[in-house]
Amino acid sequence: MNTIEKQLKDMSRTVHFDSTRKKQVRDTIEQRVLASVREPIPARHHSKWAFPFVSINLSRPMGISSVLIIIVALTGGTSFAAQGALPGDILYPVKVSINEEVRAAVTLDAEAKARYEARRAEVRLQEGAELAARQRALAGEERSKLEARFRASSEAVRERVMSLAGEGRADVAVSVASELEAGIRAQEKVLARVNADIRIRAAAQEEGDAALRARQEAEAQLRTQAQADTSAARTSAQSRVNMAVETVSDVRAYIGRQSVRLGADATVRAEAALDAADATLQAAQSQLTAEAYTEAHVQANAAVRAAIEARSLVEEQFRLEIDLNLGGSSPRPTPESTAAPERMDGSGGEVRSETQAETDGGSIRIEGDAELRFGF
Amino acid sequence: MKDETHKEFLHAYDQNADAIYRHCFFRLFSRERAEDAVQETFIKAWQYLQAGKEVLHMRAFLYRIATNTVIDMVRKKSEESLDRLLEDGILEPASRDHEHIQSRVLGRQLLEVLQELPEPYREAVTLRYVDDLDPKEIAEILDISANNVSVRINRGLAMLRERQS
Repeated sequence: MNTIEKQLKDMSRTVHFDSTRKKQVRDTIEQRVLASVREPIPARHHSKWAFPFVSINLSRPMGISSVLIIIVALTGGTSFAAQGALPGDILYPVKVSINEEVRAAVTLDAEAKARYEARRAEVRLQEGAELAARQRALAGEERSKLEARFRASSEAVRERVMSLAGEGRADVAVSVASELEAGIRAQEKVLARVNADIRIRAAAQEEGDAALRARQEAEAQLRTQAQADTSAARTSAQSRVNMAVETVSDVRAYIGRQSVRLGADATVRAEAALDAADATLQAAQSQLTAEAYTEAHVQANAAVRAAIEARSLVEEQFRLEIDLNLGGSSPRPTPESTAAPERMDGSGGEVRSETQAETDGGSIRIEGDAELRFGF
Repeated sequence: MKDETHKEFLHAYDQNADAIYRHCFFRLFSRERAEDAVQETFIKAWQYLQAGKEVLHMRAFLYRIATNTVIDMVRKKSEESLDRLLEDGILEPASRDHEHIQSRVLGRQLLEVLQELPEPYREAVTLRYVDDLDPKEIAEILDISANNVSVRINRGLAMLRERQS
């Protein structure tokens, strides 16, 4: 091939669609697709891309999925508006009981369902964090429901992980369990930093530990399956290592692009977290070379978890729009709170708040300014 | 059946999103805007399907929408400078050795020259060698004959060689 053509092709290969962003865009598109379903529409012929004709026989009982799809179809605009709703908002029931249920219902693949539930679990914690960041009180009943929904989603993922492992898909089970664990761990840190409701933080910690145990059990199954089929184990481990390389690289590129917005100190801390992920990845590659396929798989997953967590923390920082004193100027002096919320696990980072905390028997309301030092 | 259509459309996303992203990126020179363009492309594609219209070749259809989306976005914003490429990390070397640095410099020069080409030739060359499409697909996207595509590619390459030397 001529030089010019080769240069053009080489140049093209330098550009990649960030895998996390690709997934996020996909999620957005999928929501639009589901919310815009209409019935019935006359079919066109020949092309598989023609919108199909579907009829609803109202004289027969409809499954819950069909009913939900119709509700979403009729309330398309409302369902869009509901996506940003938080517990206590009028549209929040639309978000959790309609939008998310429809999405779950039409997600057919077992793996996709599991990953979707993992995302739902993370979203529940994000809601808790956002409420705290906005200093909105979470009333007793709403808090209980939020906690219950979070635990239900987390438990659903663990059940699917067990099921996948039992079907001989331990590699997928480990990946899904890792995703759940990484999402919860990242949110645990955010919840601690925004002084979120103590029960939500406790739930996050417990479910994070449960996700860890589920992952370890799936890893044990992975070992067993690898012993039975070495060739498949090699292919799976290689694939996972390759994916981990791409994920860590994508997150590093993302952190680099956000460095100005993050500030020097936070960027250094984020990159240090990714350096640790890189070290784990190198261990994975060594294990792969040594034909220790299960260990390579496990290490690659660990690297992916670290990268996902690093990125999630940065994204949450931006999403919550918290004014963080990241490196640079010194923190504003604030008096210690006389009723500072209990820190769950003594995790790193400092929280100084000029606050007054009061309890009403079911929730904690914090008023005033909170200054947070965000750290990895 | 409706679930199948959803599934197939999302499968089309999984299959084509990377290519559409590259297609948008090499015209917008911004990762964020390319991501937006990808999202807009697929949403428009779905709206077209939802209206009951027929699509025979999904890939070419997506490229056509993406091209139009990019044109709209470029019109809304002034031309990006190639310095954005370095800012966005397009030419970040995998390592810091001389060979990669040199290829980064060459890549930047090539992009500068590519941008100077008249639009029909630039588009044909980019679709062929950056998007890695064959002339038949390009013909469908641009709605011209395959012969015309080949002519534009050859003339575009000749101009590139002339301007690079």
